[in-house]
Amino acid sequence: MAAVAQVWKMVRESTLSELISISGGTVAGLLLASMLDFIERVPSLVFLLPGFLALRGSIAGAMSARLGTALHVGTIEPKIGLNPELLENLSASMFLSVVVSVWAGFLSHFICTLLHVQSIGVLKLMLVGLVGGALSSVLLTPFATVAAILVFKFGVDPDNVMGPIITTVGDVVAVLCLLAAYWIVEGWV
Amino acid sequence: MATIFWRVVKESLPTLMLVTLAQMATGVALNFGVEIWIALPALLVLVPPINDLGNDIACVVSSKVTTLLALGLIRPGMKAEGSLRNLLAAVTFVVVFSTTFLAFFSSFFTGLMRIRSAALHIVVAVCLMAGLMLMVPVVTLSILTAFVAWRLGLDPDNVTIPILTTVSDLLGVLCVIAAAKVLMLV
Repeated sequence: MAAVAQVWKMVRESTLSELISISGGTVAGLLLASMLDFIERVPSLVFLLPGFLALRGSIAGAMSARLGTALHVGTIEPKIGLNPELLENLSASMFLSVVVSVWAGFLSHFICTLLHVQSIGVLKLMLVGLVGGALSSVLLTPFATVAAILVFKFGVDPDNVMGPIITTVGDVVAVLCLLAAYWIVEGWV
Repeated sequence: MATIFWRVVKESLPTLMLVTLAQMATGVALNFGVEIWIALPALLVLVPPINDLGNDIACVVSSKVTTLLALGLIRPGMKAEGSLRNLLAAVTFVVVFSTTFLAFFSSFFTGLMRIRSAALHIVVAVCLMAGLMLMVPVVTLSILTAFVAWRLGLDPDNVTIPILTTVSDLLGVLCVIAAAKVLMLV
């Protein structure tokens, strides 16, 4: 009986967050399916996409984890406003986001060449990474900051809830930003 | 001045660059399934949520195994002890329940958005098959890496999760493709 109770407790605690996570993932999937003609027309974007998606979660997720610790320790006060530590965290996340997105663009071109898949060119792919990384970090980093502070203010531990929130919002924002970046770069270069 | 900025950049940049390199394999897998996505775009809708499920299983299993090791409730070894069996039962239940929910939830929206899809019972079968196929290697790898990290004296929370989520993203795409192939949808 104890074993059944233990299993039931784990199921009860993880099912709700799993359903939220899956619902957010489905929204990202619907966006992906609606940009299928792009994927057909611009196959090099397919190589950029997974790295770009993973990046959003790891950078914004890591930032909210750092903020969670700083809020607990008291080096950041739970109020919306800029203090030096918050500013440095924000700028580090944005910097990482842009640099690693450009790197993802470079790698995508390399993989295209290796697999003989048509590429839009190394410069354009790196620019898509640059613009997409900048756009998504401008949207996601302040969102993660405000969400972590608000969650903390309401007495919830950011460490417990920010992970699924960032993954869910991050997936949708990343797909939209990649699409927008491609449009901008195509219209520009 | 700017010490936090440089510390964060210095600590994160190498890992992020490596993870991005490894994620290219997921891109190759996505490209490999392009015929399937074009024939049945509703299956592409399943890829991000199946990947989320894989990442969550990896995080939950490796965190729980680490906690059980720290509490001394299990020891690193091949024998499935009580607490580990309970964890496996809970994960299986969550996977079955979540993938069935995913089939209904995604079918509702693909129907609404007129995205080409298969019959509902086929989508349920794809989701269940992909979820269960993904669960086996992700759970096995999560437990093994947690054991190895524990034996080496590394904090499994810092070591296993970035590796596992990258591997599970690749496996997630491959499992959706495999399920579609097994059910002969394309």
